[in-house]
Amino acid sequence: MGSKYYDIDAILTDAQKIPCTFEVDVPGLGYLDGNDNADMKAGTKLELPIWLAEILAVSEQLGTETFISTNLPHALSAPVMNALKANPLSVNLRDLATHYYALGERMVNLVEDAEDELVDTLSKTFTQRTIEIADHAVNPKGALGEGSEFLMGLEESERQIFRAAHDTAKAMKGWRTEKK
Amino acid sequence: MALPHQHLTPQEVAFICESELITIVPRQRLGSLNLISIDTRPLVPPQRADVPLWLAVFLRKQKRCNVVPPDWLTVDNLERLVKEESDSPAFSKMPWRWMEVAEILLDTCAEDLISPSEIALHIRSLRELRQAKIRASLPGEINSSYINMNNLGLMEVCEVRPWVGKVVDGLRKIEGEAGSAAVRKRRKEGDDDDEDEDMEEDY
Repeated sequence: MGSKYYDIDAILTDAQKIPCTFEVDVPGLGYLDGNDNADMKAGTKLELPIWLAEILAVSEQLGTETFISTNLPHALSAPVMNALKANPLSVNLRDLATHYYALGERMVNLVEDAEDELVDTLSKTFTQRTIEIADHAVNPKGALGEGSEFLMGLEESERQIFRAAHDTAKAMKGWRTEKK
Repeated sequence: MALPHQHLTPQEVAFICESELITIVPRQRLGSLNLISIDTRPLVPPQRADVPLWLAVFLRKQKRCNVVPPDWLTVDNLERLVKEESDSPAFSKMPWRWMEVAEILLDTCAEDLISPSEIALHIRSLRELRQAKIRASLPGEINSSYINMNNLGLMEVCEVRPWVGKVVDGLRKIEGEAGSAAVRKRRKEGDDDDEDEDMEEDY
């Protein structure tokens, strides 16, 4: 954590939910699943926020017994990955997760069978999309023009890149015209 | 994040550029100036002298000097550069602060340049050609470690840096954390070492 402690995007990433399966019975934890005063049964599947899942699953990486096992969320599942491989620009990442890449980054650390292919797909997607984003930011085609659908589907870090590119282009224009 | 922006704005780049030296032909006498960056020689017309750009602009506005445009800022040379730029896939060699210097000189002392409107035109087409080149080469260049684009001017670098920096950062996060098998192995060994140390402390 460290420098990320006050980072609102890191906090929101932590709050995203991922599917987990309980490996052992946990007394009194049934309220997580909506059963007050009940025990959590082994094998129960439910969605937990990353910050909680991470702590419960932490022993998973050391190979000892663990409370829960974590699975890849829908946003990082095979169908979505295939769609991204087919055309990175056609997928609405914001609907899948507001902090999509950060979620991917966390899941790669958390889930054991998240393999290098996932990382490769994510980085290729990110590269292709960001270049498209910068194009839109520098040459706006109007709010209702083509590409507005793509821009609506940007996730958080992509929006920040859009903003950065747009602000620079604007500052540049401002400087070139200000003295004339 | 103490400052509202982390990158140089165009105005700041232009401001830094104003400490570059430029040759002027003074129209009036002026004694030596002891500036922080430089002690100027006494100005004696019609001897040429090198002064910081900001001083040249200042004197020019008061009509106390004429600016001698730099060698590269001529119609012939710019024509050659534009041709070179459109013929070659690489960026042609321009002065580090070509955009700022050209912009400032065209703004403040266009009368001292030979055919300023043509120069402005060439500068504009150079800029557009180079921008298109930056855009075209980015998809192949962006990766998580470095971007290789030679002969970009400071202003051009500052124009792409804010967002390209973010992209590279993002890529590093996506790729770095997962890493190759080697990275993961190293991290695991690091964890084991930490554990050993903890146990030793317990004993």
